[in-house]
Amino acid sequence: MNYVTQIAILASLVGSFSFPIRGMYFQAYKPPIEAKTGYVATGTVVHEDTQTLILNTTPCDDREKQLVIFRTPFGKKNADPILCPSGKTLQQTTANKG
Amino acid sequence: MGQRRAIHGVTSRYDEQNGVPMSNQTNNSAEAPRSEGGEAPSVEDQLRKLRSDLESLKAKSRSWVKTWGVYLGMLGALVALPKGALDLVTQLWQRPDTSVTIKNLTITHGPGLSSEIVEFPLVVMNLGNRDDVLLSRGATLTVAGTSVDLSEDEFGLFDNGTKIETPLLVPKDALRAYDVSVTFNPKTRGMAATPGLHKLELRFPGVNQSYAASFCFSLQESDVENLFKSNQLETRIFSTNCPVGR
Repeated sequence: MNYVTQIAILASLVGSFSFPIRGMYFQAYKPPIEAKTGYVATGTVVHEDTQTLILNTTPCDDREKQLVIFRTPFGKKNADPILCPSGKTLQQTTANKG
Repeated sequence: MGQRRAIHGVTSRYDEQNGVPMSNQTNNSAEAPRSEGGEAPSVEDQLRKLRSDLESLKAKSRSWVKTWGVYLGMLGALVALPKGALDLVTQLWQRPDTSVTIKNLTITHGPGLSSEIVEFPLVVMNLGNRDDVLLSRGATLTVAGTSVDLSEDEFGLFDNGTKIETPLLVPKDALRAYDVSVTFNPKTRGMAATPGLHKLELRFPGVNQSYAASFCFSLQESDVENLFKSNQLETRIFSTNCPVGR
């Protein structure tokens, strides 16, 4: 087997495995939900500043994330941690739009 | 023998021996008026006349019903004939008439997110008389003349928050709006965060033909700074603005 053939086989193997691996670790977002008055959601905090809070309400789903966006005024409190099937335990927050 | 005469409901009988009328009427006030010169028409004549009048009225009535019946029949035919022809054409020539459209697009940037989220409603409409199927889906992002195909992971179709997969049935006479969400990988994100004209094209191959929807928007340098590099949550809505012929 010459050098060119080895390179070709290696490239095809890398190419065919790269797509599933990329797909396995790629995390897509569902259309985010803008919280309206009265909305309550529980999830892990993705981002928080003085104006906004973004919660991921599907923290155990590695493929797709559902985000809920809270803009001021909103209230928040700690919720029970969630134990994912993968074994990870994630702290959750409950927020409500005032 | 007594002679019987019946005039206007009064029955009289002459007694031949006494010449005295032996009336069995109960009330003389019911006696019929008589004309000066001749005798009144007999009951049979009157009945005959009545019968004839009745027949004449019946005939006239029948003629009126017939006339209007013809008019109504013609009106019904005027309505029924085109409808029948249309139904026949519909039965013989069944085809879907599907289209996919994007009108507005929203880009959301969050500091903690791995990618901006591009979302938009996709209106799928079938105005034909036959159900259609969208067999698969594909999307291409073109920025400044460079195109990249988005994978199925990067481009999701949602119905009330639930992800739906192709093939997708599009029933006849149906209008549905799906939410589409695009998430960029590092390569496509780098492309998207480039100033210039952006074109997102969605393709849905059907049974007989392929359907496509295009959305174009321009990003200035300042838009890129605000949308892709901000340390705050940013949301911006775009309306489609595809140049003619693209």
